[in-house]
Amino acid sequence: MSHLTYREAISAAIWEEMERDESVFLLGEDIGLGGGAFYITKGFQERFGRERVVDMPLSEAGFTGAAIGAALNGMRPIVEFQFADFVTESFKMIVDFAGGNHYRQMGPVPIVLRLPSASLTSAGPFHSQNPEPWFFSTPGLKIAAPTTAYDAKGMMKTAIRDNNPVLYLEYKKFYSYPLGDLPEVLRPDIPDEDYTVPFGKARVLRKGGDISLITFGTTVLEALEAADILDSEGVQVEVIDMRTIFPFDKNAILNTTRKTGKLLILHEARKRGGVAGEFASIVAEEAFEFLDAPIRRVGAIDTPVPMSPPLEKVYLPGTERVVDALRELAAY
Amino acid sequence: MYQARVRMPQMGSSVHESTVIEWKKAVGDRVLKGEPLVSAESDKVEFAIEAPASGVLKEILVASEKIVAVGEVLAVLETDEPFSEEEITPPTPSGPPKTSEWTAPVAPMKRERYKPTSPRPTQRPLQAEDGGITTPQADLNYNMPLISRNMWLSPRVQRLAAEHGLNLGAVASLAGSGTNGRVTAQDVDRLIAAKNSQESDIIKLIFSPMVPPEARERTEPLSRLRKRIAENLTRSVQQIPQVTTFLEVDMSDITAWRAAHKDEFEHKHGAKLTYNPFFALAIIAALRDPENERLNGTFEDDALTIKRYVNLGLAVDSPEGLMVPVLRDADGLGFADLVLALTDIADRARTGKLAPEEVKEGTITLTNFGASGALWGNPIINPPEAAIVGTGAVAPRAIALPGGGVGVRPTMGLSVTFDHRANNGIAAGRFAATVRTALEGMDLSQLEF
Repeated sequence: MSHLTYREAISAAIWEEMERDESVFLLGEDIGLGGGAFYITKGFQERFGRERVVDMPLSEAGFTGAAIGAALNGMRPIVEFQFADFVTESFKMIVDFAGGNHYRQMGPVPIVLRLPSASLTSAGPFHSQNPEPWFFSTPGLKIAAPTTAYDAKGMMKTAIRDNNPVLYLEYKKFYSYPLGDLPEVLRPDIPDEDYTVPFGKARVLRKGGDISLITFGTTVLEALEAADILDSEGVQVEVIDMRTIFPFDKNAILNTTRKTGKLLILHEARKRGGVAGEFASIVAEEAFEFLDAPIRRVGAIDTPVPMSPPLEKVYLPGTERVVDALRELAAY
Repeated sequence: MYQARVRMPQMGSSVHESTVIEWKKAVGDRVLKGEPLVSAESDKVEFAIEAPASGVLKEILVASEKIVAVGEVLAVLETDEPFSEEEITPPTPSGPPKTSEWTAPVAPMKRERYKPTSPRPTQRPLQAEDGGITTPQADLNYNMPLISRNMWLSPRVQRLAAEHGLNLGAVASLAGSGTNGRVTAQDVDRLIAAKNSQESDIIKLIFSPMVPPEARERTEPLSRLRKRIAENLTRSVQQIPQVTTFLEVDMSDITAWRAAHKDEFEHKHGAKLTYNPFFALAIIAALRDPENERLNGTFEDDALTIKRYVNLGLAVDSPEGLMVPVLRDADGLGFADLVLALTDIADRARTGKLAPEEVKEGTITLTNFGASGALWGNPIINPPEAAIVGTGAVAPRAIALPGGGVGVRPTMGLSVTFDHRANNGIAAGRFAATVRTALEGMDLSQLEF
């Protein structure tokens, strides 16, 4: 057993996969000597060489396309984006060529796109976004969203071994989050032996019978904090981390809603057009007669991500808004 | 700051005046455009007059119940924006007017979306979090009108009701614990649990021997205490020629008074308010009448000793067997003291903490077998007393009402067993009837605690 940080877990997973499988190689800006924007690949070039840890020019569309081409020729490239926000440069490559290729040409595209995502205090509109709503409706793409070091390692291995293109959302907020400050449920022990975490399996972070709170990504923190507050008010909130955004664990959503009859869906991405809308629709379609209250969503408000810390606080779905929504559901 | 005048609208060509019914807002309240300000009534319809603009209600010029001509100014709003009266939208009538009488009022008719008209006293609207794009107007429309909440059953509630065969009307009439009295799924769960616990009262038939052969019989010798009780009971039925008379009592008033006061009583005195104190009060009241005095006393050695004080025996079912502690001089106690003293001796009888003298020298006994659910009972005298009063279960039953007809009332079976050597049936019957009258007509306003 070891206690890795989230950042160390991602590094370890990639290292171990590169040791295991020679077709795995890395592309990205400054990933060689620089070790990448967040030092995930620090020391990799020394160990695996320039052939497998390849620095790229400032052209995301270009090197995403190169990675897709390599994947079509039997390689398993991992593409680092310095920030998830920059993935829009590669949009056509990902949506049309990576996502659609298996359908059009019968050829799988086993690439992993590493997207350092979401807010980190005051990083501004180009370095704070959550990319999943842009890709969620595209067939052929998988979207992983690990929140713990355990999941980060196990899901990176699953992503690398998967034959489909995987958008791997890694949360900057968790890279160096002090282990001691994390709720215990978010720091499970990491086995020394090789393991993977399957896609499409949600995890119950906290059991409860009164309200279901479904979330993923950074907002697991707010979800757990809010559930604690509601607990002190006599309301038991069941908190579920979806872990993969696609494929997502539909049964987990339906089962917890059938149990509690009250559902709050929370994510850091903006509420409008967010994944919560899809989850809510599925409940409305398949578990309507189990609802005892309107489905609620909490997400960021409808603006770009502000740079100013006080404004960013208003923008993000903080614990207070989650608590308010839970209280309203409890009282409904 | 700008001002907007709110005028009485015209609600039909033949309408020249309308009555102001009720102001929904007070002077100084902040109002949103379209919010109901005041309700009014013409001879055709009742309608709400909405705020023509957002602002603060500055002045109310017409009080409720006043009849006002169409066009007269009812109130003045201080608004944030300039306001022209041409923008006034006619109110939506709450009942459909006759189409022939409906003409466009002050301004051209404009269809408005339905807006809830009830205030939201306790809960903020379930509104979107993204304050950026929602307007107050949108918030108003966000929810279904709360006024119908208590009648509205959520999908989950309806499903639960269907699964458990519950009548939807019965579910809708529950006192809901949700916002504005909405019936929640938890309320239905509780109803189902209550129903299930009733079903557990069903006794299953089993067609095999009750116990294994080795457990077919067992003998329990009487304890010393129970032996004494047994001897006393035997003496009662062997030596006393006793007769029981039965009466039905309408307990409506006492039941209602007790229901209304028992929580307060318990909160104040820490003791449960049972029916026993009311029975004791009625017995004492009946015995105050000298015509009934022969029922209160002892019959020994061919002589009746009449007591003009009440030492009330109270039959108590204790783990050790029947105990009859005696409350001395019960006739001198106030209501709260009586309740507490009865509670005290009953508690100590159950826990075996009575002093020997506390089970002696009773003058009459009360036995409330109704607690077990029995409707009627035939109590036996506690020797050497002259009478015992038994009370059955207070339960709703159909009875003939004094004014004719049949009604469902909480009633109770009252029985009085008397020693026929000490009293004849007429005297005992009169006593029993007085107890009944004291229960049915008790002046409950005198009960202070």
